[in-house]
Amino acid sequence: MTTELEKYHGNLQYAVDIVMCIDATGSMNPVLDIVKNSSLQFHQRLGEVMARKSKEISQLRLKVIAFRDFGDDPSDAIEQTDFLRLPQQVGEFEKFVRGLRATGGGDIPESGLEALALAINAPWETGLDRRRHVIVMFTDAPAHPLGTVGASAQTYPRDIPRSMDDLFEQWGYARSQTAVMEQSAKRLVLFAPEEEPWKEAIGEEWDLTLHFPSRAGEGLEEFEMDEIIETIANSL
Amino acid sequence: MIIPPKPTRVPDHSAPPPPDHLTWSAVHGRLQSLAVWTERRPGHGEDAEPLAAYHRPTENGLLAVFDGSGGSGAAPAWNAPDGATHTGAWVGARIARLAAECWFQGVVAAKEPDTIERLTYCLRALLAAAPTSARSKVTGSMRRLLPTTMAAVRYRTGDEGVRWQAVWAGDSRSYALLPGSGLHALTRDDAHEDDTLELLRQDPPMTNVICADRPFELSVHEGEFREPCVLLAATDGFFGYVHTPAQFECVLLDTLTRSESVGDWADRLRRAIQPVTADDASLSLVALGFADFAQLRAAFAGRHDSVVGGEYLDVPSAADGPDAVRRWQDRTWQSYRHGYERFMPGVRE
Repeated sequence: MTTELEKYHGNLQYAVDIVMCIDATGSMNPVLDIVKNSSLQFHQRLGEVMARKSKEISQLRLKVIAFRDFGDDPSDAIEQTDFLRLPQQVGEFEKFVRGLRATGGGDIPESGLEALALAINAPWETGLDRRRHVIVMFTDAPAHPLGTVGASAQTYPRDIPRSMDDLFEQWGYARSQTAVMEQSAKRLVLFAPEEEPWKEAIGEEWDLTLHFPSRAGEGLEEFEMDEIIETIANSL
Repeated sequence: MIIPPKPTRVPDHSAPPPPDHLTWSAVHGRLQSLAVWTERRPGHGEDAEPLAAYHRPTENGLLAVFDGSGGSGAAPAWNAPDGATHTGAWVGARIARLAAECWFQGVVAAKEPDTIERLTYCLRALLAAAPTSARSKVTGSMRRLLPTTMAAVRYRTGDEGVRWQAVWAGDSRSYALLPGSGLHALTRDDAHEDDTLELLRQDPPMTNVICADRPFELSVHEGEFREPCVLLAATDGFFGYVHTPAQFECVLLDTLTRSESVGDWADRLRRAIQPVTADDASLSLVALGFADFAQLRAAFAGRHDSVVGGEYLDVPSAADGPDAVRRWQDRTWQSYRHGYERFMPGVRE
């Protein structure tokens, strides 16, 4: 009977790419500590939560984009990794995350939209079945409008949209012809304050978005890693 | 009078914990009905118990299934008296089931309007009145309050055959299973993808679900069969975890051929699907116009031999690699697709 049933057992595994956009300005020390302390277990814990939901992961790749403020110091406003395959490249992932320092940023807003634009344009997996392309934004601050603060700096990303409308076009919508993100695969999870652009312009206007409101300026201290992983798993 | 399906097999649990499956069956003249319900985590499944109702005086029936949407409705929504906390998806599926049953009873017993607008009204009214004792702080476009799918088939038997009307929201589906031509989809998923094989491969998000806090639409498709037929509604736990759409028909026909009664068919369906699905699974089915179970089984013998004995179960081995599986899926889907989509509603603009 088992052999007969196995004939019906299709591919139940998900190929999961996650880009974590992490606000690395001074107030974000607590969430950086959570990510640092959990990086080694991230793959295992996400796998466990997925298993409870009867879902398996065929491939997990993680990319981190740490951002601060192009208006404060363009030289360290963006730090990022390539997509790293877990668990195989967990050492590189951990080394990068442990090297991050929550510092600088000056006054709010920060350069979160530039990080989001880089995430949208990341080299997502295109070949495997049941793909999930998840962007997770951790920030406790509103964001500068795209293409304004620090846009003339040499380190400012060259190939990202210069307006929210253009960024929305890249995120895409039903039957969109200009989307960069794959409609079936994309998800956006925001751990961000109820301020713009996160609350209305993105959280409600962009499809396939979940928003966990945080208290502005308090570094996401209310979130535990279990809650973050549970949220990511639910978004899949 | 409504005939609730009669339980034929309940797991032997002398006390809680709750069962992880239930099956029901009923026979009335030339009507044979069954329902199957399974849960991955007993007590926490997000499929409501399937609905199978029939009103003898007017010869009207309703099949329906409901799959609470776990991703968008993961937030806790209700603390039960026994202390258990249930998600919005769990609550939404059960409220939608109640609304559909109330609508059907109103139509057949109280001559209330036989319209989708009336069903939509019932759904909205009961969802609006639902308990939401546990509120979530999550917002965003993906979040829904009490979200659930529904796939329902309303049918009426008469001298000239069976009139059917499929009503749905989300990615649960209704089908017809015909002796000569096999399984035909009567619904089209609310998703951006229209190709049924691609839906299996990518498991895309739904674009429309029943919920308490946002607009939703019920789609309708109707038709008539003049020959004996089988109608069914199922959640994606039944059809969403196989290699190719044809394999769901293989499951239906393989279990039918091995069964001795409609209750036995229900149990074999449950035993076939529970080990392979990765989700809660529910199915409600009615066979119409067959004199008895033996005639029902015999009517599908030829179709069984051609489908189950065909290439749909010759899945390439893992050693052949994923590309070989994809090529086999593409090839077998192309040979199966035309019949499968014969009664399917058209692609939306």
